[in-house]
Amino acid sequence: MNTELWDEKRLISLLKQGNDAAFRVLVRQYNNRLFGIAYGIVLDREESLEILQEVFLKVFQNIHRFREEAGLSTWLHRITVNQCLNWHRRWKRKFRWQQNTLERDGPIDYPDRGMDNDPEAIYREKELKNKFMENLGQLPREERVVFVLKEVEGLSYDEIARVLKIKRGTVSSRLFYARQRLKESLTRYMD
Amino acid sequence: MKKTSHQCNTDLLNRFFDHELDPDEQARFSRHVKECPSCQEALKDNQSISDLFKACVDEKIFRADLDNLEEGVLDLIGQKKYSLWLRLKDLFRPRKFLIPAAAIITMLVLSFSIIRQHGPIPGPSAIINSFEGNGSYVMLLETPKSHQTVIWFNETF
Repeated sequence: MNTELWDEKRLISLLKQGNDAAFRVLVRQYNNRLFGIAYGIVLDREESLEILQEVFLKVFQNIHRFREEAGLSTWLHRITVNQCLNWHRRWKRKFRWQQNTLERDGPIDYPDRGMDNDPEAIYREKELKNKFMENLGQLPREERVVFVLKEVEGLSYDEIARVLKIKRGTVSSRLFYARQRLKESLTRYMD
Repeated sequence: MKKTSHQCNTDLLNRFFDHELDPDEQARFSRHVKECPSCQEALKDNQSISDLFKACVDEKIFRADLDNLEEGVLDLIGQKKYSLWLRLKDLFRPRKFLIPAAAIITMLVLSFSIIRQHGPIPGPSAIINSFEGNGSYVMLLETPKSHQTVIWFNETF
């Protein structure tokens, strides 16, 4: 199926009619990108997949309310971020008694993909990635969301401001602090 | 014209990195960066963080079962659609006779309201008296509102 053939207006119109093929196109067009956002926020693969499923279901249930004032991708980003934050709230309520959040419970296992045959280099790379994701999980959530939208989707400050309904200046400062904190926490590894 | 020096402004540096400065400022800052090792270093760090994050997410996407997700989503949507259709059917099934009944009631109400609007054709309020002879018939009537007396005469030859 050539997903490029479906322009956004036509896709939205077909989605509103409940067309199955249109939903398939939507999922194919956006699943990687939305998964990246969800994973960047919740830092858990299985949860990200569940969130993504909820996102697409929400799209199906609410597409008739989508008034096309913003682009489809802005709307999808907003739903994804909200689902992630709701998931975070749900999780916090459920396990309030636990001090450690999910993102801190243990190192993340990354596959070896033959980037380097030097075992020491592979180990260093893995350690750096684990440390990075750990530190990302420790960022304030507001900063992490802005950082993720910038890095995964390459959105401009204005686009991020629209998705999160915050000011452009707030986007700039959150991004600045997120990078600053990540740099500081990784100084030892990045030198 | 000499422009002001940017003096390694970290906020500007971030906006420069994100291409969020206006074109003039972007060009000016670019010239500053070429001569400033600490800004070059900071930009390199920003790029490393960005690359590292993208590499982590790409690996997760690579390992995530997104094909299954597609099928799962479509299944769920199918179920939702089916249940919506069933709910609609259930809504109308016990009301099989309700629609014709409602139509009949509506028609009756409408016809009564039309009759009430026009009202009955006013006739005489009362026959005061009547006389019948061999070849004629006389009746004295009174109109309902104006109470006028009408004499009605009929010859029967």
